[in-house]
Amino acid sequence: MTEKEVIRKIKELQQIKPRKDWVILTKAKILSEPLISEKQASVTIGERFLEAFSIFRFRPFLKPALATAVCFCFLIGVFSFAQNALPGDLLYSVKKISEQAKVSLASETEKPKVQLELTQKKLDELTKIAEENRGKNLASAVQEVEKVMRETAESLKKVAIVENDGEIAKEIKEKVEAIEKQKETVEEILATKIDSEEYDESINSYYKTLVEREIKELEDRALNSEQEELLKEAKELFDDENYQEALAKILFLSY
Amino acid sequence: MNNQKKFSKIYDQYIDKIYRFVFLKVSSQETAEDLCSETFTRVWQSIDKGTKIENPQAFIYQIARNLVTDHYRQNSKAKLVSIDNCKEIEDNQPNLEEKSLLMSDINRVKLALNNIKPEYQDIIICHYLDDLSIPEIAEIMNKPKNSIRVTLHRGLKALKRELS
Repeated sequence: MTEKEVIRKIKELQQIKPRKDWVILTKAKILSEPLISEKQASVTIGERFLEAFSIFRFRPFLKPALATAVCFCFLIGVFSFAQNALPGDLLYSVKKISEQAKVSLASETEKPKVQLELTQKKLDELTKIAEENRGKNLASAVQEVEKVMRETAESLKKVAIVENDGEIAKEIKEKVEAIEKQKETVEEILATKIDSEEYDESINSYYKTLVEREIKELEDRALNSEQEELLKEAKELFDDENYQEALAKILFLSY
Repeated sequence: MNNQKKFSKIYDQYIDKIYRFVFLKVSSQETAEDLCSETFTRVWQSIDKGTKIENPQAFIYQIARNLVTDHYRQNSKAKLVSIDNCKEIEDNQPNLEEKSLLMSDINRVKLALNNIKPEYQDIIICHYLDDLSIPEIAEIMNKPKNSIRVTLHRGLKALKRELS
């Protein structure tokens, strides 16, 4: 058989054709099928939502996972929403839980700093309540500030004993000064005094311990005339019980 | 031209060729019809999605080839051709004797085609039955033209061996 004959035989296969009725029906069938774009448009948001959850209908073992996920989402939502709550509000206790968790998780060194930040936050809340004239929340807010200040005082007592880091002392001093200003502003708005006796004593004691220790250390160090002068001034302030100013001099001298 | 008209034109132009291409490879009318229908459904979906089809011929043949490959993967058993599968051959022969002779001839070629490599089958069907040029086949198969020429030559030789 020659190549030409083979080709001729192959060409005979051209007689193979599909059934005419099938050709027409298939075309009509394909064209009558809903378009993908139409299908997508017809799916409503509700259907998509149900579709997303339909997996759990067929796989019951996934139900606990769904329940956990829903609870988790709910808790996240509540905690996020609670962040805007003010003392006296329903969700304020939830906010307090997250704040306490933050304090508990902080290291002993970081704790006073976190407590001071919390004090600032409480003063912010009180300022907001005072400015918005929300009398109902005022008492709780003042109590909250006083409570946090007492807790901060406790932390400060501990930090003076365990930690003597200059950088932390500097940060604490800045925060204490900011709190002092904020407290004065709130007291002006409220025309009342916030009970911060224990806090003030604690701050004072913290400064005293810190300054005493720093002075002792600096006395053993070789200082230039300018530093000698600053140390002398710090000592005088310390003797006058002005520990805050004395600390400022020492921090300026050392850091 | 709207999408329906576009599809209609492509369908009318290629349905016979694609059906023959698929049928010669699967040797079953039902399977050929199913795969052909699926091929054109995919073409319709692509047109609907707005896919730019630069070469409809290459595009359709590629879909059909892939579907045939998938079909064989799913049904790894090779199918033999039976006489019953030849009913789709148009009844345009004047007398029964001639028709019978022609059908037996066609079946011989079909069987021979089924016995050669699928790669040879594709190229022989495309070139001699569907009248596609070497560059067109090269585009469908995604291979160099020279390679198609060589494969076609080898395919013809293999088919000749099968027929003799």
